[in-house]
Amino acid sequence: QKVSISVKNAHLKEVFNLLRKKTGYDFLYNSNELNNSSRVTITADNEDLKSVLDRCLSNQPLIYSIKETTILIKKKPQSAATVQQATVTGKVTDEKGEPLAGASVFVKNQNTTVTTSNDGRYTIRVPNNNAVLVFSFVGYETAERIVLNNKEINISLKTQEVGLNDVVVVGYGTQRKGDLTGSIASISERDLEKVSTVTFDMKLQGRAAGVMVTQTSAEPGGNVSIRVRGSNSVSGDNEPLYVVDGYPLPTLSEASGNGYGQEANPLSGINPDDIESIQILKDASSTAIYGSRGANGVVIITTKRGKEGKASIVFESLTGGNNIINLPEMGTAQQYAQERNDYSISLGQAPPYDGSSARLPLPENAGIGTRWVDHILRTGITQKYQLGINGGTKLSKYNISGNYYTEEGVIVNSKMGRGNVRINLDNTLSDKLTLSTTINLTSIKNNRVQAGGISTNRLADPILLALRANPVVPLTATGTSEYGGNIFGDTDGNFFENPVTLATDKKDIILNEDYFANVKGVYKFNSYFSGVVNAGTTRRYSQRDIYYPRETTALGYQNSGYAFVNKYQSQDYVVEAYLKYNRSFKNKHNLDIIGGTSVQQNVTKSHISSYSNFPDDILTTEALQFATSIYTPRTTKLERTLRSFYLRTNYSFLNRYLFTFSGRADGSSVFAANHKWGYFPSGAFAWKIYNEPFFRSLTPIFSDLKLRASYGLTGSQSIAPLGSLSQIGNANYVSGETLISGTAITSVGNNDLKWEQTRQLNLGLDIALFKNRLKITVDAYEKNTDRLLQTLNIPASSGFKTMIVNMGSVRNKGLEFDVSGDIIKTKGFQWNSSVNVSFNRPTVTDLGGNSEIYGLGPTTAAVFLRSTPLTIIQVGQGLPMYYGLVAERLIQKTDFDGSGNPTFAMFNNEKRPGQWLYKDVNNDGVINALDRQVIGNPNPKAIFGYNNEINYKKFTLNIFFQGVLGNDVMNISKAYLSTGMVHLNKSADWYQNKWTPENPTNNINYTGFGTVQDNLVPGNYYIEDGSYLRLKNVGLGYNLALKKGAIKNLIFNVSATNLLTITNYSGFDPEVGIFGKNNLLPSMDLGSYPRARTVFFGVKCHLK
Amino acid sequence: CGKLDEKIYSSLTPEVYFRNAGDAKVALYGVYNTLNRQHFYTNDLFVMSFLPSKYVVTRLGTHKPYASFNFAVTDPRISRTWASLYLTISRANAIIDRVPGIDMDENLKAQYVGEAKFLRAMSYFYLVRLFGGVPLKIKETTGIEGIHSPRASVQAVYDQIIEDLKYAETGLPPIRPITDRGRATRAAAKTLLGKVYLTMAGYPLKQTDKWALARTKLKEVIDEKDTYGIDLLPVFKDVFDVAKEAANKEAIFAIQFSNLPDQGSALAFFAAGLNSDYATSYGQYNYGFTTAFRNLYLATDTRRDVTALWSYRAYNGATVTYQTSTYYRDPSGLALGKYQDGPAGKAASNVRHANDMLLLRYADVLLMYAEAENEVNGPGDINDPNSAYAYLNKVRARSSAALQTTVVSQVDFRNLIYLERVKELSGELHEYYDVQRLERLKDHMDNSFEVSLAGMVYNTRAYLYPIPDDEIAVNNAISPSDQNPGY
Repeated sequence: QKVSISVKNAHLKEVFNLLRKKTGYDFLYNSNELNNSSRVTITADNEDLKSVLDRCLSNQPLIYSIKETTILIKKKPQSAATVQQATVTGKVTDEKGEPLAGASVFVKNQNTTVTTSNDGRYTIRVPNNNAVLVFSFVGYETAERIVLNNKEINISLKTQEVGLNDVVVVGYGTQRKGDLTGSIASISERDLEKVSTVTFDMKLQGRAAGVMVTQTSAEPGGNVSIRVRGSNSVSGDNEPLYVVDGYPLPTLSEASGNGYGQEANPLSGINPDDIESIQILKDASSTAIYGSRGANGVVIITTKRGKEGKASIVFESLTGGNNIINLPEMGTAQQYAQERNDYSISLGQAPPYDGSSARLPLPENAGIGTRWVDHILRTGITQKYQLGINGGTKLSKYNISGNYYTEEGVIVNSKMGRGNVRINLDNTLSDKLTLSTTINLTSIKNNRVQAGGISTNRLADPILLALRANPVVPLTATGTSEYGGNIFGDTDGNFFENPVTLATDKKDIILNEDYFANVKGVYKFNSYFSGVVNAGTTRRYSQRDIYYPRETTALGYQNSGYAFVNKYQSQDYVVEAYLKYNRSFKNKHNLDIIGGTSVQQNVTKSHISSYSNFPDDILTTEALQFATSIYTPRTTKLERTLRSFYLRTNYSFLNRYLFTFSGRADGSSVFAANHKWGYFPSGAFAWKIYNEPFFRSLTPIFSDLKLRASYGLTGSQSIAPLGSLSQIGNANYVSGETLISGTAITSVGNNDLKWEQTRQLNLGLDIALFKNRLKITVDAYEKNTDRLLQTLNIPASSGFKTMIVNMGSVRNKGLEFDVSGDIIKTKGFQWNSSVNVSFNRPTVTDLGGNSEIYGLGPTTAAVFLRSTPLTIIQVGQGLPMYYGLVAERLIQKTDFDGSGNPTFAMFNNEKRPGQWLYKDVNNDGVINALDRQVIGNPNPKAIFGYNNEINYKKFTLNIFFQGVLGNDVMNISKAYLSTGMVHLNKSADWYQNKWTPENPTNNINYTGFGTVQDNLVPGNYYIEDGSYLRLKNVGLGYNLALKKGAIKNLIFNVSATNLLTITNYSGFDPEVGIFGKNNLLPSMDLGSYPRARTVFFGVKCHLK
Repeated sequence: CGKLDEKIYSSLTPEVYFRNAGDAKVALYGVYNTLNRQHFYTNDLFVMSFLPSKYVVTRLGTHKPYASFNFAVTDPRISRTWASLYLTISRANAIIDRVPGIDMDENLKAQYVGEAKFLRAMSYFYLVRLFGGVPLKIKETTGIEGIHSPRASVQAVYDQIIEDLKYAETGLPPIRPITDRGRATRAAAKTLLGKVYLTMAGYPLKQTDKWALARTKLKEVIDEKDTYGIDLLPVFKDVFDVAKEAANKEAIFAIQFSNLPDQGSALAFFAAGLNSDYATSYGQYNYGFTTAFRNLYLATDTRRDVTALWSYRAYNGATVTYQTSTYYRDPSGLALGKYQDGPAGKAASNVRHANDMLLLRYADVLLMYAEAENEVNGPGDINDPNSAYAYLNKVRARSSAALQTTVVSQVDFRNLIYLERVKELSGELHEYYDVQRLERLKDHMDNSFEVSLAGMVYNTRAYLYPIPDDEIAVNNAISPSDQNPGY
């Protein structure tokens, strides 16, 4: 800048004032320092400002520096210019003036580097006055200064726009993102806001590399399975540990009922709108601080806390509608009746649909009939109201929110509602003591319509019933109608239950009350030493009421009304105390240590009871005294205690070499007496190459480069209490009509039960380029889990079905990529795009001497799945693999020799043309268990997410794709929809393409009629490719930023979830798993709750 | 770290149990508890024992493989039966292993151990007949050691059965007070041992020396019947009358069922056209007798209408009479009448029928004795009150069936006895085992409606059921090649 000035014998203050008026530059000085200055006479005409200043200050004991539009006047350091080898000291701060500890200071083109101390100060030797000092700190823009005569150079660094400076919450503390040595995925509030779901876990889907989120049931509040870097454990829990505001949550469940049905989501108590950030700790170095609970990864959830300032009030309202994505077209009454007649004729019997009565019309008169599925589906409405108030003073801050959420499912009568209040308070009680209080109260009422045909099918699943229901039966058929007779005989006299009345009339309500309270006190002994005490409790009270009415459900009819009332209660408390120490030495060494101890105890109680013989259907579960049959209740109380010691040390040298050592000792009550304690150490190293002086000058395109490596042990203790002990349960008998007490050993113990242990190696690379416009994170890992805790199926000949053992090893190897970039970055238009892709390969490396382990269908499953292997685990294979017979084609008439004998190997003596012809693997001429093979792999080859955010003026557009590649799904629903199972309706597609003598197809999806259930064994005809690409979310927002009035921002948005799914899968949706989190039976589909497409409209109002 | 000890609230552990005679008795009832479970004798084991027969038809696809002798490796019913039988054995093993260590009355100790051994022997007897040689577990499973057991030989299993029954014979009391109804007695042990010998004399072991042993053992039961308080009831119908169960002298061993929750039988629901609200208008039963079976009886034979119901009272009070119309709309054969709850009884649900299941009764003893006598001494003199004829006629006389008055050969007498067993004992879990030991499979398969409907032909593999799929899958000591022939 040029300036013209003319003064005579003026005081420096006057000169500065003049210059300020002419240039707009501010002058900053200490008046006392000007006292020794001499008066100035100067004339300049359009001269450079710096030159003018130089002239003014020559021969003055003062120097100046220009920082943006401020000119800083300071005392000249004494005799600096005279020394060749000089020492410069100073302080490095951020823009707010807070000291930056661990920042690098070095002399350009030399190797001398120092790091700043805790108070941001540094001392460095410089060769001469012309030396250039470079100041850098990860997350900040680098600055350079020429030494000149200055003895002290203080500098404030500007934050880089996209922050490596973001603070990341880790176990028992926080760290700057740039200082991480482990592998941690971070999801911000911004990302969380984009998808509207009732639970936060669905919001993780596709957001972080290495984190696979599957909503195993699409019902409102349905269960979600989260896998961090694959599954370690065969039949143990593979879900990560959730830590909410520092509180490690116990594994919660709901009063899930009478032994059948799917579990529901235990995390539903957390309102996603309350979440500030989510961190997912993936490698051993990050999770070892959680020791025995770290092996499956740790999800750290931090809720919003009060910020200093005037109250900020945000109100949000959202309304949406959902409908089903993909509905199979079922056969008509005419097709069904014709099929049924053909079958009888083939057996030499009279066709039942002979027009003899209205119930048995001739096929040509049967018409379309009842489209059952249409009558149990609807468009559901979702609504959300959220009010958040945030603010506070320096001493007292608050964040208070209230939320109401209600979602109707696509199946009639299914609805979930949640009310939630959160109070987060932070109080500074003295200079030394701060207190943080967190309270969360949640109440959830879930009207369930259970789907997923894992149970004895007539009890539970209206979807499966509707798909297969006889379409000749009219919609009104119930227990009292002529079709019912009593146990709902259909037109054929076969069992029939009306799926519509089952959905609408059966009562199934889960009520959950969740309480969370936590108080954390931090006492600062001095600037580098503090102590933390944390005490909290979580409680869940859950009750499930089920009532099967007498008139309209089969079970209710048979038992004159049937009620189940199940209660579950969990009380958990944790007390923790830890010390923190953080200090720099000689500006080169930075040490950060935490160490502490904790006790966590969990007590769960359950009460399961059932009642039948009600006088009417009016009172149901609220008046159980009316029932005349009361079954023996079952109650349990279980307790588990975890005592722990933990320690973490972070050491960094010159802010270039970072070391982390952490570990935990856990003592858990659930293990056998000699194996209570487990020890979980880990270590990590990171090299901030970017901070190396040689590197910095070499590659100006880089804004960050860091290499990471970590290795450590973590564990899993996911077994129930008493797992190591044999237990005696009650087993009564009767003599005449008198009940006599009996007991029996009902489970077999294992007094050698110990920890499951995971060794994990992680290598990572963080790159940022072009002033952080492009950021890449790559991680490679290998996890080896040994001594797998398994609920092993043991031979029934032992008298027991299962036993908890440590057996076998699994290896997961994987690669994760996370790339994000600002494609366009102008003032009015920004487009940011990010992609994450992860590959995980699980391999079984040892099975404790067994050649294989099978995943057996549960005993409550549909009849042809019960106790039969559905999956296999073998050394060298994935975990697990689908297992079954291989149908190569269908039996044709030409497969018989001249005398009519089959020329192929038969299964169960099945030789009818049109049925499956199996591969005789061992060539023994018969198809049996020996001919089963691996028929599919449920483990995806890759999972990915692709997010785009486009801002144009006041509009924001978010487009988010998510997908899974290369996995198989076992679509057991096909047994009902596209095999010729007698008495059941089939898909329209099957009726058109099925095998007939005239259409001798070899397509194994279209067997001929007359398939009996016994011939439905797990086989390759159920295996389908489950890959999908989903347009998970599209959201468009418009921010009406108002300048006047009480409203600051008014944001309108419209968004759609599950708008488009590209897949070859033939069922409702490939993201499915009727066995929930069961790792032995993954991705199986049988009458699953159909997934919905949802469109939301919302308004968010931010008051001033 | 004492505080890390497990706290136990809702269950017990063996370490703090089995301290005194009271604990032992309660644990013994835990063994009996396995018998009246829903999927066991009255359902799965019943289907496996009753349905493979030329006299039975069934309505349900899931039952047809049994009626047509087309047993599937993966059928859950087979797996459940296997597991249930071993559950009884496992609990019996715990008694046999632990009770001797308790400080209690020695006679009582021998009695409890004897009861456990009786129940273990009975379970192995079903196993060896259904599956052939099976894993022989005679020690309680207390940990991972020994959970994988290979198949033992058929002979080894029988040796164990005989050893257990011989012990039970001496340890068990001759008679029980009414309050101990349902518990094993000396007569039960002797009768079962007689039946075991009889079976060993037939297929597959064919140890003909066992005929004499069977004869002797059964004769002991007959000679000591007054000591044991057993006899034929004068009226056949009363044997199965739920209201007269307590005074049923003919019962030697019966599984106890009651209307109480979780203590009821499901058999009336599955097998009988019943006097209850839980039947469809077609009769809620899944299988029944062919008309050919009914025609085996003389019209005067009181067993006919008790065993196979020509008509019965349906749920709505209407009388349902057997119709012989189209196959799919007929009542799937004649309902089994032995397990009705009687006109007064109405079960609270379809799995809470009170009617006890008679596994051993005196008429069976008489017929077995007649059979053994015929094998050892021939049918004898028709006028001799100790001849095989006489024992056959004792059973016939009670039901007003025509007495055997013509002399027949030893071979023909075998057929008479078999036919008599069919008429007297059908629906009481003897059918499949009689077919097996008397090698009558070909006759049954060649003449079965269900076999021909399924397109099956006679195949000797049906002499045994397959070892269940899940046992082979998880038992390291049994490989798929150890499966029974033909599966």
